[in-house]
Amino acid sequence: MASGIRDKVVILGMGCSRFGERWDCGADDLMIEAFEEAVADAGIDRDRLEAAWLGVFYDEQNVSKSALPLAMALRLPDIPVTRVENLCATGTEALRGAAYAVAAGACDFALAMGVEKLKDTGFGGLPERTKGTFEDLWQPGFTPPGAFAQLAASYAAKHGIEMPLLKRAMAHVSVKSHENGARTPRAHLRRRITEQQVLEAPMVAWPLGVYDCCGVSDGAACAIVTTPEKARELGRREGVTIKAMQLVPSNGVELSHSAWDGAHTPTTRLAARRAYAEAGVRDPRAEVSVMEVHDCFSITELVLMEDLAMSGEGRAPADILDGAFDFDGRNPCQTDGGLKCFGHPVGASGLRMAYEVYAQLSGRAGERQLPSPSLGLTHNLGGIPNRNIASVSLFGLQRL
Amino acid sequence: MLAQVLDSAAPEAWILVVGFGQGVDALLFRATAAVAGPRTVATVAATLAARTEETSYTRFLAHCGLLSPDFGMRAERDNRTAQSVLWRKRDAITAFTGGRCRACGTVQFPPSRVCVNPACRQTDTQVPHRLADSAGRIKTFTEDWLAYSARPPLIYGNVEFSEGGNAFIEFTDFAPGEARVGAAVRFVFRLKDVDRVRGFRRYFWKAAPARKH
Repeated sequence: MASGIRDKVVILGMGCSRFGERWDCGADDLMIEAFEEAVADAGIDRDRLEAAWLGVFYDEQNVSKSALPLAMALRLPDIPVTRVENLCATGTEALRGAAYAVAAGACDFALAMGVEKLKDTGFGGLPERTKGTFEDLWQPGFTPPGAFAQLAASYAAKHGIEMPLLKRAMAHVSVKSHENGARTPRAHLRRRITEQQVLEAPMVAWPLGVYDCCGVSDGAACAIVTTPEKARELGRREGVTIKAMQLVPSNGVELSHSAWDGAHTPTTRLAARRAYAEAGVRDPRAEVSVMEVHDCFSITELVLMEDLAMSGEGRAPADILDGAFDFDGRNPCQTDGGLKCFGHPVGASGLRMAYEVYAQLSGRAGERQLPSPSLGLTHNLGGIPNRNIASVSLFGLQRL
Repeated sequence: MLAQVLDSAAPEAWILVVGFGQGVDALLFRATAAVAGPRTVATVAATLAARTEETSYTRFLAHCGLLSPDFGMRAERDNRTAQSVLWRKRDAITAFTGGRCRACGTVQFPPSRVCVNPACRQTDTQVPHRLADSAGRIKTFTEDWLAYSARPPLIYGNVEFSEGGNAFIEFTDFAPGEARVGAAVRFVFRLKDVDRVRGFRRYFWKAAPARKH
């Protein structure tokens, strides 16, 4: 295996817009909101940027295709811009593009921007999207909650867990994220909720109720990355470096082969294993101080705790109920409220997760600052459990 | 109508099918001895007997197009029809034909050029494998109240075939609360959705409870 990009790329600055129903602004405004914060944080002239990556998922709902929306909104100085899309891993893909370019020596300063403007069309939940011309002929007319609810049915059956107990653990996931979201000024949903509210909420797709589902939002987040040498030249003595970025898409095994049990995401397990190896992490539970995972639904976060090796097989419900992933737990998860409460503007989400990890590692997370975190993890799960794209990234605080 | 007559036709019987309206089509058939042989598919009478009754008059009117309920934004999706895709994939869609890899024996749906078995992945090794008569088992499922369905909830999930292989398909004839992980299903050919803009009805196979038929 190649040596990877461990510590070859420094995050010089990051920005994140307020997430929510941003009727007051368009995608260009959201990008500028995030970009101005990142440029100020990076402390460089914006004209030093040499390349940019733009992550946008729903081109039908949002800013359409290509590099143009970013280049035009920011009036970028005639630099190459690449638009990327990889379902819910889109924001992370933008960062991966920028990080790889810097690690390869193709440029010294690169921008990764993710944006999504979902609320203008008035859709509740994620808008319908095309699945191509063949899949529509046979696959169900599913919704994301219905597709992810599948995990709960098979997880309960596989581990012999009664649904009421699983529902309680799932409720704890959401209660924890609302607790964290309430302390996050830019989050979309900022009210605390109780376990009873979650359990009594209207059913969306059995067994997922309303509070088992994340928010769907407008928002943008971005990062400016550089090399350790350039960061030192700018006077940085310590910085947040990228330790690993791994991405694994399904190749059809879950959808067509009997090997998959329907109760875990093999892509996440593989991406995590590779990311831990790239970053030199031997014991994730002991080493990861903060996690932002793809909690599109409560059951997703529960299953991911096992896929990311944070819980043993069948142990996630017990660990969750024991508070292992609460703010003051063993491995704090979704310290900014996660997709559940910070919100989920698809193309921005991977970068929003990196933003929270960056803020925590830099000691700038304000009211929700963890005591001296050193290693952060972000995870995306694009698509649906039987056909998905998983990304696992690791970030660390590093002497430069 | 032809299928219903064939259910009870005797060998050697003559069957005339006539379609009338802006002209006339007439087709004359003669039954062979095979009509008296063992049946592999359900008869029309058995299919009708295994029906789920609609007892809501409002829903009945909506099904007949006499009421136009607001089904929400998810019903506004354009179910684009690509006839060339249906023609190209006709065996998979209309006959529920999957692929069986000659190299490793893995059954898979949809059939594909490259075998899905991670230990095989050979190209152009699959032969047609009929799944319509296979037994299935529910691996996962949900009852989705958010998805568009003329008769919510939309119930669907991952189903495993007895000979191996998995398909993500819609369920039918299940009442809410009836589906269970591990439950046995059979496969039935049903209306999947309608392209109202172009007036095209799509059919595909759905998982139904494995009752006697």
